[in-house]
Amino acid sequence: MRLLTATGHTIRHSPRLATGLALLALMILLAVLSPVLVDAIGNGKDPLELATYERWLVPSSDHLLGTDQFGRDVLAMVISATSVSLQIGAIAGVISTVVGVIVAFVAGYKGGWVDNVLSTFTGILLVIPTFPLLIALSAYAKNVSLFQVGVMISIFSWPFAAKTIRSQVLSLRSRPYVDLARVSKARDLEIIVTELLPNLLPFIGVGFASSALGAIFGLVGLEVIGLGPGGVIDLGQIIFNAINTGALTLGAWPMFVVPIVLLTVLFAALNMINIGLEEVYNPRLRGVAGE
Amino acid sequence: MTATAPSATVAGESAESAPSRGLRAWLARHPLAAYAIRRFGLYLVELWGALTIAFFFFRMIPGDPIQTLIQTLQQNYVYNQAASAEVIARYQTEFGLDGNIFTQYLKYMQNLILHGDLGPSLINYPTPAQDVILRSLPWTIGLLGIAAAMSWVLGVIIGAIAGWRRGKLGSTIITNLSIALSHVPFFFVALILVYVFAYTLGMLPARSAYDSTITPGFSPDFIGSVIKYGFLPAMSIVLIGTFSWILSTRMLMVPVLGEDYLVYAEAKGLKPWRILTRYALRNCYLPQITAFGISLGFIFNGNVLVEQLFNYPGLGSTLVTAIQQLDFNTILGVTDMAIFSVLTAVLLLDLLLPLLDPRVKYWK
Amino acid sequence: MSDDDIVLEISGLEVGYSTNRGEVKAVSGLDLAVRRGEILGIAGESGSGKSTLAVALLRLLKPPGKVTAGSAIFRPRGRSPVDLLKVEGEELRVLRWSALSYLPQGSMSSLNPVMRIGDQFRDVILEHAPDRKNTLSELIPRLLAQVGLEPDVARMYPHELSGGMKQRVLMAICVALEPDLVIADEPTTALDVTIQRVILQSLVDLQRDFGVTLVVISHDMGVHAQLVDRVAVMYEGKLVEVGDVRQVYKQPQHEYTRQLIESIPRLGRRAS
Repeated sequence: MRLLTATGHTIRHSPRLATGLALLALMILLAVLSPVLVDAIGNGKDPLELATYERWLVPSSDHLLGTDQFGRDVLAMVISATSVSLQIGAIAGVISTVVGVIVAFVAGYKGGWVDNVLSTFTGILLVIPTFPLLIALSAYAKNVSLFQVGVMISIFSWPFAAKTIRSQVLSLRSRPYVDLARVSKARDLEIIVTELLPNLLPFIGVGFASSALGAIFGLVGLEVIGLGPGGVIDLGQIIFNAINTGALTLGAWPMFVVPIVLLTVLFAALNMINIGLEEVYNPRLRGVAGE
Repeated sequence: MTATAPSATVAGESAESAPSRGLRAWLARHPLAAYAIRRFGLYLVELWGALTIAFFFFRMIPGDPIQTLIQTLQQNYVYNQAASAEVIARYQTEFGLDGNIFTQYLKYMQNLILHGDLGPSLINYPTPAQDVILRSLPWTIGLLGIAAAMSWVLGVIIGAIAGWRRGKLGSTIITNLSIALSHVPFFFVALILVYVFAYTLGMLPARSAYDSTITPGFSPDFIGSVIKYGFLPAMSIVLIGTFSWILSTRMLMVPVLGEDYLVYAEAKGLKPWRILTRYALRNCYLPQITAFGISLGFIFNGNVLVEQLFNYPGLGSTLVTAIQQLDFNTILGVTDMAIFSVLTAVLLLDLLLPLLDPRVKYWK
Repeated sequence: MSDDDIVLEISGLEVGYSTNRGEVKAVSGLDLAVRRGEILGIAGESGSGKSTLAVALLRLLKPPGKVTAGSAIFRPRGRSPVDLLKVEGEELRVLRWSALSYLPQGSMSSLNPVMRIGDQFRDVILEHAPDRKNTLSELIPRLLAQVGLEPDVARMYPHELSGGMKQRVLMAICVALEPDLVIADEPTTALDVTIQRVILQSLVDLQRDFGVTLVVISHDMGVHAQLVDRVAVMYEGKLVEVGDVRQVYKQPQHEYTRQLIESIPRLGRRAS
């Protein structure tokens, strides 16, 4: 309950965070309702089935965004793909955040050579172009489940989370109350769980948002060059199909513009949450992006 | 080492009385050199680590490149005999695929470091992969370098002004726009730009890097063509890149505006423009130099897709083609080249920083 | 006393900070005259409004702070009198440093960390007295010497200087254009005691050599005892007592002043 009031308080004080969360909530709602919406669009038929309708229909009142080269309803495809994109982002976000938190804690809390090795490694992954490596991994992903895609992508998005959280662990580690806990001979794990973790929650939130962003970003990249995992149709896949089937030359703009707009809104929402949280909890930045 | 400047001088003085101290004392007297050496050491470690990660990653890709090669050769030369075990073995040696993975690794690194040799390219056999890469490298460096530098300069200037005039309507709009758009993939913008300017309006070319009817060379026609063809791909990187630099510069700028030395500058009665450039901007563009280096790898990732979309003959397109053809040596070579370029750029910027920023405590 | 002898005349000054719980008065109903050529001390505990007074006069008050009433007539030599609280824009900018300058607390990072000390002299001098361009190479070392610093300090960066040296640099910069009035905000706070004494002595010398009027804000009654001619005591945003420093120390009129004086450690005392 106290946590809820605190959250409410935080949101009221940051319109940016509130906007980001609202946008994200809207998209999640769209995702949750996607089966119902798709059914409604199909009106008895399955709008995602091949050859349900005529091919390449232009947008009309029957098909708000037209149909694709296989006669599927583009709106229905986009809605269900949004749900898939969000799920992948969530899975990869959770995995990368967990890995990131562990790495950050071990590095930041233990310090010394452990920190050196881990930080150098994280730094390498952050600086070098990882996209080719992701491409290499994608060779395994011809027929994989949504969860496996999430795991695969998170291999490259955890450093985003680790970097954010490590610097916070470093600044918290030297706080007096942590010293106090150490003097009173609490075990490391206990200190981490009871003293450090609660203070890091907002930054873990930032880590989650940025690694989810990185994950969706990476996956869209793979799909756009045709190396997306088979069997998973998310927004990136729809964009790839649009390019590949000549939607550009045919003028079938809804096929790529709508997914791009949706993903842009998603990126914007995650970024607003990111910056909003940082503004609220990082006193140095308080009011930085405000007004 | 925590020696500060005064104690470094002290160390220097005591070294004079005991000249046999050697390297350690010399380093204590030359903190900048010590910093450069340490930074270079880190560079070597990073380079080695990244190249090693890349090597093992790519060796994990399933598929048999030798079979692919033989098939290609058979198709090209109507060579219809089944390849003998000997032929396969010879190709394996040639492509560095014989022996276990660790011998392969050692041999690969040896060839790479000693001879700059990446092995033959599969698609263009027997052309070495490095030749294929060197052909596409200038295009990427040109496109990406110019686009990345342009967005940095624009972003830092606009971001500084947005921070300076915070609270004003224009600044608020720019800031919110940056927050919304700074994480959009370059590729999305590229797609929209291509659709509008190339397909719908037909104003600019949608593919390739120059007009193929013009012979490449230092003629005004060719250069004009390169600029015309490079405009859309560069724009898509510049647009988004600028937004993200605006945002981060503004974030650095606002705390600087609250610093005592800005209040003091105002009390001095300096002209506002001078306070902005000499006091505020100078204190926040320096961290952005390091950030520029770190962003290069990320920009390269995005650039791969942009090049692919525009069929731009740079590293990105080469990489994608190589992947589609399972051309191992080229894939790995492009990755190595990207890693090398980015890490070297970061190293150079880091070495440059202490010369630009008097505050950098390079001896730490 | 004629108007000419009063360099700054503050009357009815009110400064407030607007908070979510309404306005909080930091300075209220303050009247004070600063005589030309004197050193006036402003004493009071933290929160008494003395620093707010300084920033308000220097026009460096930032929202949510706001001057709500009053005037501060400033009479620089060779210029017409202006109300410091009303003057705006270019007129204010030109007035700064050549007529009204500021000596901040040394522990604050008032020097631009990425500019050499010499450049921080140069930019303010060239801004207000461009005709001195040719004399700079001689002027800057002289100003530095005045506060006991070597000429090569000009080539150094702030982070290469100690706290005391930074404070001297700030002192030298603040008199560079021989202003009419210098407002010094806690000039010795956060310096160690031995350096405090030296800094105070240099301040007295500078004041004498450059003939400036000096307003010194300090919570430290010892500083006032050693440095100022007259002292004004502030308490909860109001002026409770003004007078000749010896007089005030000998016979404090206000209970609060008496407590402040008693708070000085006996050994460091000099005025009595």
